[in-house]
Amino acid sequence: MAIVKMKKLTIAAPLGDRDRLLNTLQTLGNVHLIDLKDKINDTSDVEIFEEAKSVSQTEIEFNHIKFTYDFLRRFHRERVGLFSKREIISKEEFEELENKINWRSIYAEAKGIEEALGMNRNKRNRVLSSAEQYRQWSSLDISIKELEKLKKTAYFVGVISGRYEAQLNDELTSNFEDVYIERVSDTQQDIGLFILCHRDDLNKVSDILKKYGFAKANIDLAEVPVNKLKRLQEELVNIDDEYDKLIKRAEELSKNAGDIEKMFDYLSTRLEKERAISNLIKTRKTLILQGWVPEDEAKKVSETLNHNFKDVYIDFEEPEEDDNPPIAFKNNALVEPFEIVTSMYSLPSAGEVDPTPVLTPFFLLFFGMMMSDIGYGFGMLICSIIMLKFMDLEGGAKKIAKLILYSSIPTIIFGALYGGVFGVSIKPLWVNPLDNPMLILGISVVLGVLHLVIGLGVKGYQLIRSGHVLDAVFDVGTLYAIIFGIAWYAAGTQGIVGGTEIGKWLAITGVVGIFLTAGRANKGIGGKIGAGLFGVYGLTSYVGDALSYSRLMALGLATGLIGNAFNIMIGLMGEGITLPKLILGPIILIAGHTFNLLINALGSYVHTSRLQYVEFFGKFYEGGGKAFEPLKIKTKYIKVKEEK
Amino acid sequence: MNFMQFLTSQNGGLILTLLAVALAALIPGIGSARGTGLVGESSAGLIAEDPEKFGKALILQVIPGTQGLYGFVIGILILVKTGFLATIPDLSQGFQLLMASLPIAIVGYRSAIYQGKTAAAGVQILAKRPEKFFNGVIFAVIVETYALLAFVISFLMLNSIKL
Repeated sequence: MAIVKMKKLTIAAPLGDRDRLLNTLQTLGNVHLIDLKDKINDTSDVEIFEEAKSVSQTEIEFNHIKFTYDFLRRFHRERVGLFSKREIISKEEFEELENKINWRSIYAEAKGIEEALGMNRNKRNRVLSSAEQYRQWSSLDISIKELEKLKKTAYFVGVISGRYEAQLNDELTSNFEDVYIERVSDTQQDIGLFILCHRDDLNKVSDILKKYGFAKANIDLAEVPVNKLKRLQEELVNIDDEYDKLIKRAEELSKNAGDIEKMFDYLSTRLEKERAISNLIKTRKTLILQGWVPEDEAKKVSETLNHNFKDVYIDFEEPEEDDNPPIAFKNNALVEPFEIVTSMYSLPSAGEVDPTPVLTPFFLLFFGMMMSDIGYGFGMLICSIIMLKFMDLEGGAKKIAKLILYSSIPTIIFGALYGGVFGVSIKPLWVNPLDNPMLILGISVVLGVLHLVIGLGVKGYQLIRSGHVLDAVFDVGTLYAIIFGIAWYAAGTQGIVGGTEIGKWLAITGVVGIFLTAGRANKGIGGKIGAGLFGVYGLTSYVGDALSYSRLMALGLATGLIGNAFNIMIGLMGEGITLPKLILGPIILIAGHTFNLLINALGSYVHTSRLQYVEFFGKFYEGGGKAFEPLKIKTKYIKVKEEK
Repeated sequence: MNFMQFLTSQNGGLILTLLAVALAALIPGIGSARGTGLVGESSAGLIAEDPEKFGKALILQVIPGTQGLYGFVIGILILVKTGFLATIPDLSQGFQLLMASLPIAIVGYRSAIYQGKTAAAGVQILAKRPEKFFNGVIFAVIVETYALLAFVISFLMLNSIKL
C-alpha cells in the first residue's frame, strides 16, 4: 500500500574508509542507520569493539557556533521576513564552507564582546551602588583631611533610626557642653548624623550613641562626598560610553550573521555524521554498518558505493518477521498532506496498512461540514496559496499549507450547500442548518456510521490479508450484518425498500453471531458465554460512536452563528451608513471574522482528527511504528542543492 | 403593589429576559477570563526564558476564550429575538428565555476553567517538547466539545421558543 518497502543494508568496509563512507551515505540521504551496539553479543568468533564515546572536537565547535549565532542574533537588526527564501548552494560549496568562512575569529570577537559586556555590567552596578551610598551624605561638605586637622575634636558619621533622634539629641546636649550635631540626611526611617565632640568625651558619647543603635556610615571620607559623587557620575558616563561602543561593535559583527548561519548548518551536519558513528561496530581492521534503505533506492545506493569505494562489501536483505523496519509514507499528491494527521496519532507499525488514503475523503468531508462557510473557505484558500507560493516551506510546514488548501474546497462547497458567507445567510443550495438542524443531525450520524463501516472494512481487509479469514467473518461480518440489517429495517419502515423482515433477521443473526463467536479464544463453556455476552454488550459502544458524529452538526451551526453575531453588532450601529459604522465597523468585521475563522479552523481540524483517531482508528488501527530518519544533510538556514 | 404583583403584572417577562441575557454574557465570560488567565500565568514564566514561543503560547491562551464568546452570542441572539426589547416577552416567555440561556451559562463557566487548566498544562509541553506542542492544543480543544454542545442546545432552545 502506501508504506515504502524497506531493505536491510549491510556494509563492511576498511576502517580507514569510515569518514568517507559516512560522508557518501549522508550525501545520498536515504539510509536509516540501525544501532548495532545491542547486537554485539550475537557474533562471538570475531573481536568486536564499540566506538568509544567522547566529547569530540566537532561537538565543542558546534557549541561555539551556537553561541556565536545566538549572540549575533541578539544584535541583528535585519529581521528575517516571513517570505524570504533560503540561499541555495551546491554540495561542493557546502563542503568548502569551513575553509572560506573565518568563523573562529568571529567567535573570538563575539566571545570577547560578551565578556566585556559582562564586565561593563558589573562595573556599572558597582558604581551605581556606591553612588547610592554616597548620595545620602551629599550634603556633608567635609573630607577626612579637614577633620584630621582638628586636634581636640572627635567626629562620628553614621545613621540612627528616626525614632530615637529626639532622645539622642536631648541626651547629648544635656550631658555635654561641647557637642555639635548636624542632620545630614533624612531617608524614610534613617537619619544621617554628623556629630563632633571633645576628644575627652569620645568614649562617653560613643556609649550613648551605641545605646540608640547608631551605625557608622560605611563610606570613605577621603574626598568630600559631593566630589566623590561627581566622580562616580563621570565614571558612569564613561561606562555607558563603553557599553555603547561594545553594542556598536556587536552590531557591526552581526553583519556576519549570514556566514555564521551557514557554518551552523555545516557543523550541525558534521555533528550528525559523527553521531552516526556510535551506531557502527568495528573489528580491528574493518567496520560494520547496517541500515534501512527504501527498496527502490537500493540500486542507487549500491552503485554509488561500488563506484566510490574499492574494498567494500554490500548486501541487501528482505526484512525479517521481527525486524520492525522504519516507516516512510508514499502517497499521491492529494493524500500526502494528510500523512501529518496519521503521524500525529502514530505511525503504522510494520505489518499494518497506511490508513491515510482511507482517512483523506472523510477528513475533507467532515472538515467541510464543520467549517461550512464560503467566505472562510476563500480566506483559507487565499492564505494557503500565499503560503505555498511565497514562503519557503519544507516538510511538515508544506504539508500543513497543502492541508489548509485542500480543506478550503469542501469548506466552500458546504458553505454553498448551507448558504453561509461570513455568517450571513444566503439562499442555500441545499438547506440552511438553522432551519432544519434535525436533518443535519441525521445526516451527520449516517455519515458517521458509514465512516465506522469503512473502518471495520479495513480491519476485515487486514485480517484477510494476514490469512485470518474466519476472524474477519466473526469480528467484522457479524457487525456488518447488524449495521446493514438495522439500516435495511429502518429504510423498510419508512417505506423506502421492501423486505423489512429480512433486515430485522439479518441484524438478529449478527447479534447471535457475536454472542456465539466473541468468546472463541476462551477455554471452557463459562468463559465462552461470558465473553459472548460481553461482546453483545460491546455493541452499545457503537451507539456512542455514532452519536459522536453529532459534532458535525454542532460545529457547523456554531461557525455561522458566531460569525453572524459580529454582523449583528455592526447592524446595531444604526440604519444606513453612520459614522460609528464607518469607524468601528471594519475593525469589528476584520478582527471578529479573523478570530472566528482561526478558532473554527482549529476546532474543525481537531474535531475532524478526533473522529479519525477515536472512532475510526479505534476500529482497526494500532500504530506504533517509528519514523524513517535517514542520515542526511539537515540544514536550517541554507539549502544544499542535490547532485544529479 | 407587592413584589409578586410587580413581577406578574407587566415587568416579569422583561426582567427575566434581561436576566437571561445577563447570565449568558456574564457567567461564561467570568469562566473564560479565569481560563485564559490561568494559561497566561503559566505562559509568562515560559516567555521569560524563551520569548520566541510567544505565538504558540498565545494559541493556547485563546482556546479557553471561546466560552465567553458563545455566551455573548447567545445573549445577542436573545436580544435579537425580542427585536432588542421592541416586543416585551410575557412572564412565561421570559422564563423560557431564561432556561435557554442556562446551558451555555453553566457549562460555559466550568468548561472554560477546566479548559484553561488543560491548556496551562499544555504550556509544559510547549516548554519541554515544543515539537509536540500541537498535542497540547488537541487536549485543550477536546474540552471545548461540551461548551460547544451546550451552546448549540442553548441556541436550539432559543430557536424553538415562540414569542
